[in-house]
Amino acid sequence: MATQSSSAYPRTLKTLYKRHLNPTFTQTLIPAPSPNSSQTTAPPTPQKPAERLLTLEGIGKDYPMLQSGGRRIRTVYELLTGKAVHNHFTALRGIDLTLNRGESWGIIGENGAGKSTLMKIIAGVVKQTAGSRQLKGRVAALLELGTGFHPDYTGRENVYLAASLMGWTRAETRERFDAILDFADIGEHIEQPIKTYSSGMVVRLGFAISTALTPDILVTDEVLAVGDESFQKKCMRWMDEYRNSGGTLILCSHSMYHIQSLCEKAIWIHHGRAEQHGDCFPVTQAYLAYHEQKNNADNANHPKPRPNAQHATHPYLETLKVENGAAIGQTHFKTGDAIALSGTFYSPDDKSTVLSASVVRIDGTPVFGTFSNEHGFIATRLEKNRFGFRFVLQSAPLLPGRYHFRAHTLDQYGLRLFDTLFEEFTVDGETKDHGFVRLEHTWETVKTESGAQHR
Amino acid sequence: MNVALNLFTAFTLREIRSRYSGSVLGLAWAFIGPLAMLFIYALVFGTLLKPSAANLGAPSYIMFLGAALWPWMMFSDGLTRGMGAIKANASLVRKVAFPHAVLVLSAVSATIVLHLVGYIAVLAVLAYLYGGLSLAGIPAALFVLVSLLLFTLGLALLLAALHTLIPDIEQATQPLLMMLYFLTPVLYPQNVIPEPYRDWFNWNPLALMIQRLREHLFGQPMLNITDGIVMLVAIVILLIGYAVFVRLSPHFEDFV
Repeated sequence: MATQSSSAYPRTLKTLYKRHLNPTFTQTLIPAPSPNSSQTTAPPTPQKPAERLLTLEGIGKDYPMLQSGGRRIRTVYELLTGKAVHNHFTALRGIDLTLNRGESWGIIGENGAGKSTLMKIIAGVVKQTAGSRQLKGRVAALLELGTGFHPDYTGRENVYLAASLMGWTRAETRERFDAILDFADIGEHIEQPIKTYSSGMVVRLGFAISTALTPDILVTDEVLAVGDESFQKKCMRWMDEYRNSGGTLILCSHSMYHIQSLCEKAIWIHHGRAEQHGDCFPVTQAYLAYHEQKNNADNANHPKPRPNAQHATHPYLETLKVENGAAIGQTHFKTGDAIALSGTFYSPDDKSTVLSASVVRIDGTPVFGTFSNEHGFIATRLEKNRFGFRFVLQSAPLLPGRYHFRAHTLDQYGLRLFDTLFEEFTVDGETKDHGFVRLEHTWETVKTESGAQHR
Repeated sequence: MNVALNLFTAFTLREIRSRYSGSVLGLAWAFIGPLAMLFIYALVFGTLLKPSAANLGAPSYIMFLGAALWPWMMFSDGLTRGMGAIKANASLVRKVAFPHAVLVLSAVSATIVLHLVGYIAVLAVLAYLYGGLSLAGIPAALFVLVSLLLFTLGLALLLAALHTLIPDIEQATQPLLMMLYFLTPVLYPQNVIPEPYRDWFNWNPLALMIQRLREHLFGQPMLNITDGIVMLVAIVILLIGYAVFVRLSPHFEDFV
């Protein structure tokens, strides 16, 4: 029990670890926020029942579709008289969502699934056509970083204008102006017109304004990917602090990494409906699985034309198999097992070529990759134009999860990539370790000053 | 409400400042344009028509014109700016939650305030040069100007909402405003209109407003029933415009 004292453990790391890398842990070990957990990392009201900030019930949104002039007038008439609009596109249907203080939700889904519409409804930019929305507190939506800015005004004037859009008075803004300026870190440019700013500066200023408000709910999408590295870090740090102090977050992203590391819960919007919602990890896993299936289906329906011997101008891979020493085609392993990839490739000029092998996690995060020319490897000539190779990870310290084993053929200098094939494999097991791999390590005692071993 | 008020102040200041920002003469352009028009009209019509003071109900043609030209511009510029305000701020409307009517209100207010300053300056100068301005009529004139503001705002709200959904409104407005300009006794006194048609002009609230403004400024300081009716019409138009606007504004995001 002592090992999982959540008190000193930063919350993000904890979530990262429990959601992201170890699904089984969620069910087996994670306790409800333990009563003795430290106040510094817990939301401000850990004892009380959760405070409901936002309730969405049966939210639906129809967008009128406009084509010809006559239709337009009819639509306007229907909108004015409050009749149902005949010609519409349903962007969202029957979305239920409740958001308590201190929660963080990820919104995931394909392009066009209705994520943005949902975010706009949460932020209050769009009014739903069905269902109800009850909101307590202030929402700041980072959808609009810099959209309230007027290019001809100075940064200072724009800060005041944007702040008034978010419901601040001039006095409130003046109070926090220095903090905003400090966070945005644009120095004397604040007195210059916004049109002279770089796009990064605009985003920084926008983010600084939105965050200085310390909203009850922060709604954001991928805008965080805009600033430079150090600003992104600053944003992430701010997010952590915001969430640790009981802030409530709604994040919309295509990066499952961000969703899993920042959100406890997730809702997957699919064709305007909530396909799944609940704990982040199962939802994101289901979403990834859906994509995988879809890709496989796509590949099955439209098989990517593989090169064939008659037309091949470059070396291409013919077969690929994951195996261990014993069983060819084995796809389940344990951490530390030997994993091998064997395959054949076709070489039109009957010469071996440079190969590359890599391990990536199923969501595309690279774990390790290497090139054959680093080792002076020459593939075995099996017959004319046909070569075989075998790539062995003697002991792969991969943490449990699903992975792709990829192979590539490249030109003889290892510069141009010609072909890629991959095979999936799974590392089974339960662990509380997090990350990608298990590095060799020991925990050691230290000597005390008296020289005696401290126990 | 406080939020809307803050926003209104911020937007109106932005309107006023951005209108001529970056230009060398800045806000002076708000007065130069109307002044130029005043002198051209005064030159052309004042000398060509040679209207008699008695006919005009004003000390001179230039004062007769000055008293009406600025209120007309308050209406026509205010309407044009106001109805375009939603489209002009499309990026805000698409991404930020705020009461959209503030945009229209700010655009109309900024325009009217700018022209009001010009109006006061011109009347002061003309009164100094030619005399004949009745100071006692100023409160009544202000009453009429308020009805003009409400009327303009109501129409601007109505057209802004419709214009966002039906772009044709924008094309139709300019020719219609032009027609209305000549159908409103700005350049000429209403009594030059032949008898059978003259009464028709009384259906035009703008014609009534402008006539009453002149009468107040040039010697009739008391409000009468016409002023009341005009104010009533303005309020009704404002209520209709606002009702339509509120009905349609949740859908602006889909259209702009």
